[in-house]
Amino acid sequence: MKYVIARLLLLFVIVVSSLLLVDTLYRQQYNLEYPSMGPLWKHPPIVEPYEIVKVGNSHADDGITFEFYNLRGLELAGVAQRFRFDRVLLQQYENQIADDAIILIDVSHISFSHRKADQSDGMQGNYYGRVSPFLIPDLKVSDYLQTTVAPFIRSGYAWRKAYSDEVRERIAAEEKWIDPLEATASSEPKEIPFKETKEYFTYVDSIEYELAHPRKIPRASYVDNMNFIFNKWYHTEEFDPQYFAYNRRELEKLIAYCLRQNWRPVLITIPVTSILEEGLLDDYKQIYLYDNLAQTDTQGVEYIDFTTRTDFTDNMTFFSNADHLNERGRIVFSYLLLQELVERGYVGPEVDGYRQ
Amino acid sequence: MLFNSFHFYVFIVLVLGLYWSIPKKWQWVLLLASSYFFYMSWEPRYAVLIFLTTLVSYLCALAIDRYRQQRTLFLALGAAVNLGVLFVFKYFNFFFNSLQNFTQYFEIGMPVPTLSLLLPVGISFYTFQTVSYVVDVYRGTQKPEKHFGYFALFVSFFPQLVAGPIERAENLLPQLKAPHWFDREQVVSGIKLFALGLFKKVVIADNLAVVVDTVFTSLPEYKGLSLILAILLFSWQIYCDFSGYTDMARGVARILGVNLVENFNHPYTATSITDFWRRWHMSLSRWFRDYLYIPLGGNRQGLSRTALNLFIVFALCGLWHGAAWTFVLWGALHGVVMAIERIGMHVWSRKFQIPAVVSMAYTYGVVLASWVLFRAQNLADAAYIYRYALSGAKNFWRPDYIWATLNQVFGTNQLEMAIVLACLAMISAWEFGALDFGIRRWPRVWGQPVVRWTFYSVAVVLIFLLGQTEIQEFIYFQF
Repeated sequence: MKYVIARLLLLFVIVVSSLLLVDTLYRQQYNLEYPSMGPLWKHPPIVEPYEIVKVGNSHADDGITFEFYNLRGLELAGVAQRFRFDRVLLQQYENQIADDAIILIDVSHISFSHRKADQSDGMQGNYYGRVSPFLIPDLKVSDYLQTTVAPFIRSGYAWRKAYSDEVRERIAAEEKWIDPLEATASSEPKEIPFKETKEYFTYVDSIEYELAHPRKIPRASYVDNMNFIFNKWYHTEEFDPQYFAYNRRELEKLIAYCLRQNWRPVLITIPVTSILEEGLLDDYKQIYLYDNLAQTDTQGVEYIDFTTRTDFTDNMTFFSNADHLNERGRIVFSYLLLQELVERGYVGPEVDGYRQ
Repeated sequence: MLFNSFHFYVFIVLVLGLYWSIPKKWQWVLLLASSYFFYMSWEPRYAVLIFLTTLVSYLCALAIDRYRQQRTLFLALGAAVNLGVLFVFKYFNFFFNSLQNFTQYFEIGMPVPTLSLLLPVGISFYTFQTVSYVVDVYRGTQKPEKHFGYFALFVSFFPQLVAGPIERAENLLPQLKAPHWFDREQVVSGIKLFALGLFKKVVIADNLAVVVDTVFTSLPEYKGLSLILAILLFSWQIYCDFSGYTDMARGVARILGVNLVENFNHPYTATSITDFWRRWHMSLSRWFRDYLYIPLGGNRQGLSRTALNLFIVFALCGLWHGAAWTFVLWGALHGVVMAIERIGMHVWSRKFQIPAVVSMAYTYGVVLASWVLFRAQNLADAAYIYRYALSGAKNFWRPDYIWATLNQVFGTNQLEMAIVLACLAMISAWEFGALDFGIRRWPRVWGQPVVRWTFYSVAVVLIFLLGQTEIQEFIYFQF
């Protein structure tokens, strides 16, 4: 047996050395650093803990900024993030979040119908290197080890993928290329896009003016995207009412966890475009959102619904597509959110950095 | 738990560690427990199904031996339960949907039941294994196994449980009962065989699959040489996928001290379709020969009856592969060609000698044409390929057309093109002997440790570098 083990070890050394060499060449070509393993357990306490945290899916990720809040903010929302992973991220940072911190929990149109993130959909990969492997539910051990502990064994795949992306980009660029002669020959007037500056939107008066006078953009440009989202929400296995009960339980656990940590959770729903709301079935919001909230034991936590703000949902300049806010929208929505938090007594007016 | 997954490597290391540590008389218990654990890693509920199949076959075999007068009854019972389970889980919906389509064609409305059942992994393999055991006991060529544990292990032995080879009790049972010590030669050869299978699967089959899947998921975008290239690559993909799995299964079994039967013998070097089936999925071919073709009369009842028997056997062989008309037609096509070959042999027998290269080219051409039915999602897709595969045939020899075809199929990604073509060259060289026998033809070179170690190291490094990180299932698992 020793003979076999000795030879297998020798082969192992040769193979690992070769793979490290290839990995080094790959990282040199693309100027990539060797990734760190990430935390093995929860983050240690810090001197100035976070006072406000957001969790949720891409709606919260795109829709909320703490840039103009005079609070130490932590952004833990992510694409396709479920309640279960909201809790995981909060657990990872629990030593760094202050007592009494406000936890903004995004409860969006899709939150309750979103399929459980199990080993089949690769969601866990979003948290490798950010969250302790001992906190990630349904961890794909081999995937985790390949990504964080021994990424050099994937260098072949990574190199091919990088090259493939380059080829795809090159083709896309070639397809987009327009003959300058043809372009100049066109006599049609070009629409000059509205120039955005972040500074302009930090003035409260400007924001209020913008809300009072929604800027109209041709709805047609959002209809394709609305159809895409409609199909995604209604006609893919990713979203289905069969997951309602599971997600309600997860939300209850998330709230209970926050309360146990002496934090102040707040449930919010971030607006989507009125075009999308009209495109969905009439009872969509009632069935997918409100009925579920009514059946969830929210343990006394407040719920703030921003989807009824038609001054916001009608203004297409706030959205990058039918259901996600853009930079302008994020700043304005975060302003609205802050006003609500002040009004409901979660924070004092001194937190408002928009007026400074 | 796939052989090419991390979980399997952890599993096998633990099993092997225990296997050589525990008293020899308990090795079968460990293997049985491991086999059920292995099977339950897919879907725990279906362990009940395999257990019931095992129990019924075990009891029927004992009854056949004990009650000689009613042995036909117990044979029928054993076969009916085994094949009934297979029918319910695999063919029920296909059968009733086809019936419904048939009646609708004649405008007769007929409501049909449908079952929403997940196809248990490996059901086609282990039911055939249990059926062959019951029939062998009935024929008196196999003594019934009295020990239920050994028999349960024979049905569920994990290396060959989910995709064969389909074993006979006379080969496997005695080996499972015997004690096994650590045998260096056996273990080293098992590891090499497993590594070879892994290489075929993750380096060759999975890389070819990328192109094949791209073409087959958007067929209308392709015509002419692109379609032919996709089918050609698929022929090697399925060969490497399935023979790779078999090599891994045989390698693991060999490490455990058990020798499983060969399943492939360079099938693309076959000189006729009859010869092809002596080389492709040999354990299945032998099963159909012994338990269906010969009972139907084989070749003993005249030429026309032989041709009919071949057609029936291969249409059913196609159906075994999948509950779809494409598979039935695939099998039937092989049956028809074999029948024609048989008649041709009878008419022109040995009047002239066909050069081997021509025979091989003919066989590969027929096999290639039939793979279209095997891979197509439905008959419409297959018809599309047959219709457009030769579009623009007059340009097939032109270098610029070939280059344009390659660029279309690979999306101008020349790195992927090089990898896939290198894989194709490697496996073709292996199949046609240059690599397999060529290296060993120079014992002086192969005898050098540096050469051997370089060869093994490069192979393993390629497994890591070219293996797709998303683990791909084996094609034959769906059967």
